[in-house]
Amino acid sequence: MILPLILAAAAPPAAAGPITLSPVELFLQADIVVKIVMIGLLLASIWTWAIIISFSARIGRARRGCENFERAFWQAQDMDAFVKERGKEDLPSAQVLAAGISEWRRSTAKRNLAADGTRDRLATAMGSAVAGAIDKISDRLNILATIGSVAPFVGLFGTVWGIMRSFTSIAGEQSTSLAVVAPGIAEALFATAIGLFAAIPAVIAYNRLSHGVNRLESRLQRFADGLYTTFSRELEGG
Amino acid sequence: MDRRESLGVGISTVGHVLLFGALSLGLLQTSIKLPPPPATIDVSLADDIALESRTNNPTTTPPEVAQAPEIGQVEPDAAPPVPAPEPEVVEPPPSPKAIEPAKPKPKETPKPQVKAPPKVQPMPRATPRPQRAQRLGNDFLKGLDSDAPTPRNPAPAAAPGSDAPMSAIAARALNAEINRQIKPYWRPPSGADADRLVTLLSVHLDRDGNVVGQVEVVGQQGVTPSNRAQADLHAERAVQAVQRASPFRNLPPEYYDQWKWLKPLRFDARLAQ
Repeated sequence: MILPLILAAAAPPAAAGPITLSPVELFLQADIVVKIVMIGLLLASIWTWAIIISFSARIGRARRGCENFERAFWQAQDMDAFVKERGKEDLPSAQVLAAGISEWRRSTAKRNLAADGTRDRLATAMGSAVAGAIDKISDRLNILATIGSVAPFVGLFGTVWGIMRSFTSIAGEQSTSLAVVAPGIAEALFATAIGLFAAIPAVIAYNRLSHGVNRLESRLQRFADGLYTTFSRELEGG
Repeated sequence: MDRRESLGVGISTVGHVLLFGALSLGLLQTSIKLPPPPATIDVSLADDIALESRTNNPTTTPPEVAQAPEIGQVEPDAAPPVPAPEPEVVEPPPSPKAIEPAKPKPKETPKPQVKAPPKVQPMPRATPRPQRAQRLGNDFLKGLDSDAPTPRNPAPAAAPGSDAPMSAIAARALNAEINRQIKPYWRPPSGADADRLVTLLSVHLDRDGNVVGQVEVVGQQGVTPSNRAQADLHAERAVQAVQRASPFRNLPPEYYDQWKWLKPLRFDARLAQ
């Protein structure tokens, strides 16, 4: 890992003076297993924040794009012209609209038109478009859930391992002094600290972002319902 | 991983590096303050200790605790008279002055001095003070040692010529041992008010714990008209109990002087319980 090396370079010279809680020193003093746990948890934390940042940006952009797109769509005079103009945009609403329009065209191309069958096909096509768009958006969300639920346990594993090592050192030195045990326990607890450090933002972000995804999904669903009623009206009128 | 995700990874990596760097450099950390080491205390281990403690343990002997504060309280009050116990000329004036400032005139110092002993109240107060003070000053500890056993433990203390000094604890243990050995044989008579009867015996013991000579009844207490009929039987059974309990065992030979003559050996209802 490059990161610990960078941090180690930045670390102050090893403590001769007051005892400090320098994370790098705690990391360097730890057992190899605890080190691996810590590195893994640190990577998980980095990934968590990366997902939080990119996901928030993506879902925010999708929400704003859908709002603009739908407003423009309902205000458009000529639906065919609008679809030709903006139907290819990389937006969930555009995908739903494209799915509905293509299905409409394919169904109305035939001579004898079956209204019920067309309505069913339209609803299915747009529903699957909504589901596909939501699936694509909520791609990384399960990673947040996994990190949020697993990271504390991984940290706990590191802590238990480190405390076992500390007790072994008690047995080795034949001394029950707190000074023998304390550093080992401190670095072991550091593993749990990192685990919580990764897990807490992950859990919060998971709840927050899944709420955002749900809102986006219901918005897309409403848009699809609006399209469906429009198509249905066209079927009867035509 | 699209462009936005790589951007997120970059931002979060930089953020973590900054955070841990700040922690490592001590920007965010609070150093743990160690408590100052406790001041060293010199401890000397004394190994010159007598095998038997002669001092009374104040925590285990409540009655002496009650006695000690009485003397201890007097001490600060009596301290002023101690330096001048002989010249009574000095002492009486302050006491009338302090308590009855109206009576004696400040000029006539000899008058209150003469009048004071018979008449004035403060004088009886003043007289016991120097006595106590002297008792305190001279043989404070000695007085405690010799005084303590007499009121508490009549039997051993009444022994004449007891040269082996005995602590209150040991005296009480001795009493308890004697009572314990008498108890199985002590059957007091029953009847109205029989539990009020108390018989006091005088018993001589030899070094082996055998009763020597006659067991004498030296007194009876608590005799009322209703239990007068039981009184003689009570005394007789007490004598029998001592004779059956003889020889007494496990009495400490070094305190033989304390138990060779058990003067008021007390038999009452409490002993039978």
